[in-house]
Amino acid sequence: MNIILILLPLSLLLGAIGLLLFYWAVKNNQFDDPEGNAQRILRDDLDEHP
Amino acid sequence: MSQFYKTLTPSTTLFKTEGISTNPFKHDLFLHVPQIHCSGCISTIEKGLEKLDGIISSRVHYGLKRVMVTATQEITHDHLVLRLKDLGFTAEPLDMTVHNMQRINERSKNLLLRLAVSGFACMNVMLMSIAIWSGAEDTTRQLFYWLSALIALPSLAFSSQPFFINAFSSLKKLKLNMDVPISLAIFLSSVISLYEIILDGKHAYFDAALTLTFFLLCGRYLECLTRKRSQSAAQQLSKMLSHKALKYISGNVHLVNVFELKVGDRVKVSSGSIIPTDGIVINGESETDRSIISGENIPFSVKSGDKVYAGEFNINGSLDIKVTNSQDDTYLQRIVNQMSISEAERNKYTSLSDKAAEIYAPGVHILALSAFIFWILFTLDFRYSLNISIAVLIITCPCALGLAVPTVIASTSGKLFKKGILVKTSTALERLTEVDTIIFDKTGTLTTGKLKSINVSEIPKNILSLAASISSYSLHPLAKEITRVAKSKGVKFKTLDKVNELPGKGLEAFYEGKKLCLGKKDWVYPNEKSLANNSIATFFKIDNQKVWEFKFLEEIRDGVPQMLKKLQNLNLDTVVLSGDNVSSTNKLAKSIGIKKVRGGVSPNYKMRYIKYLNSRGHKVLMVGDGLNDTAALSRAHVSICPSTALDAAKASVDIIILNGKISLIPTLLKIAHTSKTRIIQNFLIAGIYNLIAVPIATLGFVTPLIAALAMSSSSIAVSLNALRK
Repeated sequence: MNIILILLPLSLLLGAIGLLLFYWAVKNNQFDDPEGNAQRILRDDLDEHP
Repeated sequence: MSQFYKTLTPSTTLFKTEGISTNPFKHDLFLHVPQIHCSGCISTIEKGLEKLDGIISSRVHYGLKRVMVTATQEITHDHLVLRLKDLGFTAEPLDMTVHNMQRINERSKNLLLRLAVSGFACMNVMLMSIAIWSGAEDTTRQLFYWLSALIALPSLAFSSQPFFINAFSSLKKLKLNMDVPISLAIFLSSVISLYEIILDGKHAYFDAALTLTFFLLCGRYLECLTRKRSQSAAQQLSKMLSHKALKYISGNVHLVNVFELKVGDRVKVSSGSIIPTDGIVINGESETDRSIISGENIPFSVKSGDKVYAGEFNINGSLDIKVTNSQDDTYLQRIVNQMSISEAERNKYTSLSDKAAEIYAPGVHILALSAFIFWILFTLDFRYSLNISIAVLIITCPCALGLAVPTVIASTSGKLFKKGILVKTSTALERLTEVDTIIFDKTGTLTTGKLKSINVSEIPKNILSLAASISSYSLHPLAKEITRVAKSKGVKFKTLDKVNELPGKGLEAFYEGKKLCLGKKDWVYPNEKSLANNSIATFFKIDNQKVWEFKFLEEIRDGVPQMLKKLQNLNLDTVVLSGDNVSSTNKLAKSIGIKKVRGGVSPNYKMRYIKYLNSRGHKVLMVGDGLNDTAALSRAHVSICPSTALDAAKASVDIIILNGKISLIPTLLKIAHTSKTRIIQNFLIAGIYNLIAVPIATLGFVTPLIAALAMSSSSIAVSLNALRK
């Protein structure tokens, strides 16, 4: 059962990292135009560099 | 990385600035382009616009069918609209300085974050709950419960804030809305669960409280997305009225803002521009196009001493006018004021979901309270009774009800958006299903507002060629149409001498020494009475030879007669009310098969007519586009306008139809009916679920496991029903 004491915090930590990444993504408008981004990826001439 | 909003303003100031650009050398322009439908469009628009001088960057927002352009100050919306027209797109300028849009944007982001937090917490707590349900005991169970509490309490405090805030503001007004039982359920269940685990109890409802929050936030987020999509395009289609005026200050003309004008000021209105204010003509002679205000097709001649109104288009002569009304008392402004009065009256409409909430919210409280009283009298066990009443609260919580309406509205308005119909108000579709009478405006609604030449083929080519050459010098709608038809027939244009436009009369010019006249009958053909009929026509003669008559008809929008037939088959009463003169209104109505007609009516009459129908218990759908319709539009049960309508009209309607496809109205009605059936089905699903679950909960058989399962399954059933084709 001791393994739980490691696995639980670990899984929560991973989840929390995911949540933080999501937070970052929302704040940076990654979810602003999902349909448009899905279209853009199909074309070479819309290739955008950061 | 979406640069769409990145370039809006320097990063963090996005929602702080009211205007758009902070850089004085460039500014941002927004356009609505409904045709965007593939990656090819994105590429064509972005690349095509960036080739234009002065454009720094452009970005297509595919989901909102919108283009944002960063450009230097010289570039205006007009440049962009023209450029997009060359590229094959029709665009409409958006005025984004109204910050409402940005508020919705902020809200949707905010909700998405709360949704993510509650989703994350919900999943983790659920995992631990599964361990508990499958038999974890003693210290293990306690450990899991404490961990759940650790995750659940802070995330609940963050993610259910919208409900708490709403519930609080509604309680302050001594009212119960749906958010009150929701907040109570979330709050009580988490507090009682905490109390339970402190006392080593067996039941905790953290998982249920979190799933509840999660599903409800889904509903809210959908609602917000729907609003974002429709409002972004609908609300700020740019202004029609001129905001600047040329004012005489000690003999010189200065460009000033319209609101700086005072009664008695003198203003110059050059030909081809919009009259900025109500006033009296003191100098000059011209014709003005009043169609946007009164619905009349034929331009008015105005001369010294005549009254003109803000919003009229000055066609062919320069005018000096004296301001007669202060800017908050113009004809336009009075109509807008009238509109807001009517609007306040219409806001009394209670939607289906409001009606449900009115019954539901107190019902839930009474049920939970009576379960508590019953059990405390029966067992005298405070803790046990409290647990049961929490179970009742959670089970009855309008999770499915919270999703029932937004999911349907979101999927329906998405469907309509793809067809080019923007639903601005969320209850519009519901109200649309109750309609029994449809009132149409004529000019600009049933017709395109343009005049179509009908007898050009009867006129010899050499005559047409001269007539077209002379008409190409004028902005008069009839002259413009002659030029257009001649061009489309490939007629050669001649060079004319001494072209002169006589406001109120017509055009004269010389060709190879012969005098050409094009214009009104009594000017071109003063002594002839036989041609006196009601049709719209202009006359042309060369010297004193034969007089040629060019006849015109109003151009009816595509599919209008078929649409009216369909509507009449649906047993809907169709009526035409127009500000245009009686004979031309009657003629048009007859040609498209409408029997109830009234022409030459005032804006006030239109409004009173609707009021009268309302008092007789009819529900009216008003379709109109002009300034004279706005009061009527806001008085009607539901209102629709084409996207070519005047701003004031667009602001007051519920639904906007893009590309002038008025003929979509029957489809729209059908979709509205389907959506209403779906909403009712959803309420039924939620109701049946409650009917089964509530007795079980009241009898004390509901464990946290059953509560969580029952709630989720009903929410999922409701969402699936809304999304199915």
